[in-house]
Amino acid sequence: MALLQLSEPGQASQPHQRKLAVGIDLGTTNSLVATVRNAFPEVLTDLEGRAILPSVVHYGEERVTVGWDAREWTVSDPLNTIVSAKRLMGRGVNDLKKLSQHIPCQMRQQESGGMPYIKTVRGEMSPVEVSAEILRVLRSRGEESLGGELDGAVITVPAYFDEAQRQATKDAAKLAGLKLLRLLNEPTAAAVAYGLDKGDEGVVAIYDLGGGTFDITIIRMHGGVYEVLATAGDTALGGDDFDRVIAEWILAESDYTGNLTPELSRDLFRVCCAAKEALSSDTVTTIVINLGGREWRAELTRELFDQLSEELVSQTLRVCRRALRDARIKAPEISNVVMVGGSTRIPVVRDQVTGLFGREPLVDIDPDQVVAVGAALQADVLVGNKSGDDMLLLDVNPLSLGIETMGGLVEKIIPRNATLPIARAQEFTTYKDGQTAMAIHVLQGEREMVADCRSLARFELQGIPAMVAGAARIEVTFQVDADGLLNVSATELSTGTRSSIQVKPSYGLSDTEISRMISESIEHAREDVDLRKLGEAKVSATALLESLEHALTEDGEELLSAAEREQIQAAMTQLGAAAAGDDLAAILRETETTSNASNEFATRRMDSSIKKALAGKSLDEIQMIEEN
Amino acid sequence: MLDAQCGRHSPPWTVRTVINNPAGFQFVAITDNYFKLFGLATDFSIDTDQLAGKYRELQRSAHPDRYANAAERDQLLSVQYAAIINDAYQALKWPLSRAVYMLRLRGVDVDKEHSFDLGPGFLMQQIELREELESIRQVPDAAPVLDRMRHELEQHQASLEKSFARSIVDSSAEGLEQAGQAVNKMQFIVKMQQEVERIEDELLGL
Repeated sequence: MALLQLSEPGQASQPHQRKLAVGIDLGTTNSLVATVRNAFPEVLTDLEGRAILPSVVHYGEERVTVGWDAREWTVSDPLNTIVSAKRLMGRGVNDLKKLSQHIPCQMRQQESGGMPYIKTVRGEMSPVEVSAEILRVLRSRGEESLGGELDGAVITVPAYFDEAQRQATKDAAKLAGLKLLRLLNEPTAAAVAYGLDKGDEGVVAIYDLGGGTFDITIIRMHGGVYEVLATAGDTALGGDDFDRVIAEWILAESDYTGNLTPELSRDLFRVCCAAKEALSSDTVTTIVINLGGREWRAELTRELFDQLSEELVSQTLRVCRRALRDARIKAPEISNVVMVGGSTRIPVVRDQVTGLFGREPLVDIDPDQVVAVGAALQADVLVGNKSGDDMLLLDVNPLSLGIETMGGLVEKIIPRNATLPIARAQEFTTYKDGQTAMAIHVLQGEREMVADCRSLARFELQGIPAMVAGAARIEVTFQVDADGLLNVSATELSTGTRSSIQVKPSYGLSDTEISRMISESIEHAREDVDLRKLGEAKVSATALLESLEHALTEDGEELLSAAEREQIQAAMTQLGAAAAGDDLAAILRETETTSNASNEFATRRMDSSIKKALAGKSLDEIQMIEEN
Repeated sequence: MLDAQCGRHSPPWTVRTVINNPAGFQFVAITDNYFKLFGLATDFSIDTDQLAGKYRELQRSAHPDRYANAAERDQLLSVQYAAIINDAYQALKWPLSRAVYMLRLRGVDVDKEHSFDLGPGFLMQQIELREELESIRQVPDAAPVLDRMRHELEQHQASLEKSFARSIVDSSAEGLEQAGQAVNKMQFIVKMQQEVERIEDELLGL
């Protein structure tokens, strides 16, 4: 007979309660949200049963619409209908000149540089805000479907996204009120979706041709560990470019000399996209388009389309070869090729990829859904629903990070394809007597000249103790975390003075801009900023207390003396009392005290867990270490 | 990847990690020897499969993915540890970076202060190779030439590795000198290999 478990009133929620987590594929053209339910990944649909949410936001006089409804406006109200906002993320106005033909909208570049804003009837919007609108819709789809507030989300990004583009995506998540567990590379997500299905071992190539980006990733799979060996890509090559070659062909064939208005441009791309999709199954399709009042009609064969797209496909194959080279893998060693992204449905793409790797690519999982599915599986592990023992993703830094040196040259600090997280220290000195500040310009890219790389940020180190020229030794640590985001810290070594760092992102949003956007967004309109800060402080205090309680129960006896334990517990009691109240300053102060009091404990735990991981294998090996 | 192989920017061999907390910095040593970190004997001839296996085990316990839900301090700590494990793995994974690291354990930093006398013969040979590479763009069918050069460089590299393995276990000053020379020569060879790759890339239109 089954016994009913009754919980007492006021009892805390059960420790093993499943947490609600989703994986989000924030795509250029389409976005999706998926979750893991009853051990199976599931793509969540809207009320009409549609999985796909078009990545389109319409800013109307009355209201903002997202997705299918917004897409209705693309032709009639193109300037207020933002498509492909992902292409604008983390970009500057110069990058956008290339893209402006795809994205008919009006931009305003900020005077201070930084991210361009799009003019709409509802005011100027940054691409981050546009993406946040899409994320909000996916978030509420997740919450309605799972029946509660989300504990966390994994959002995917193209592997080849640079730091600025990743930071922009993280900012969008923050604006949308999502707790971001990880930015996951799309190809890695795809590998996870396939890998857990099949328990594959070996080296896998993920060929990801999405709406606006292409990347290729080489992954070694071994006992649930996905080790990315290399990734390469082109952030300005995607399905849209296949539409473009058709559009160019139409304009050339039709001798159309009239204006390419935003409306016509949109209509042209709609027709081209439809033709491209038709040619995935048919060998010929009829194109009908209204060109400035004149109906133009023509047949486009698959053969001709293959010819038109030849250069695009060749470009992707060149990138594949470079990735193989970087991974030190030869094409025949690849045991599986996974196709991701709707554009891999194009027959000539499949043929060419088959030719390069000498094997048929895997297409079992819907290429539109595979990324969201992988993200959901990873979110389930990260949020703590599943033991991490069976899966670990080791991803890489896609583009080299460096700093500007004399003569406009870039000195690489963190190489591309280095496994993340990674930290590198670099020493600098002063060149003038009494110099107390120093500027550092961080760039990303493979080229030697500053002008050919992407500027990520300028840092100003301040508070360097005044000394004679060359006497100060400033160690700057560049760290790229598991999300591919850069952190910088600096210390003057001879005095131990820590320099403060002011960051001026070249394309991203400043912290002030983000705060303003959060306070301006509809959701937070009536919310007091101080109240939000208090809430955040309480959450982080509680997280620290919970994790310390858990740590003390597990390792307190073993790793701490009675006095040390008492000291930590005293700090925790103080923090607990502060967190129960509403004094923000007190909570922050006690959080810091408790954190400092337990730093040594946290470090000992980490050391001990590493020793255990090492000892887990065989006794002989441990003996060998001791002899060492 | 190639930069990582050369180990140019590797941190000093007494590794320390930094906890970035509001009060400032705290330095923690996790290991004074990467080999020990992986439970391996300090030996140039390591089993790279075993190394890879140990690496995966360590990352399973230290990687930030295991701390995605933990307190912020623990997340930062995990990033530091995982970064050191990655660094250690890169240092030991490739023969050249492993050799550079072993010299560092002996107190010699080949990247910074030391250069060894490589003898006129070796340098002449390098100059000739470089000249041959420079002129290769004029050769109608460069691929077989590049293949041959790559093969020769690989053989040369293998014999330098053997010489290093012999010298590094010799604790005399002469042994250290020979080990240093082998590392310096390997650095030349790796640079040349990179050059060959760069020209191949160019010819492939990459």
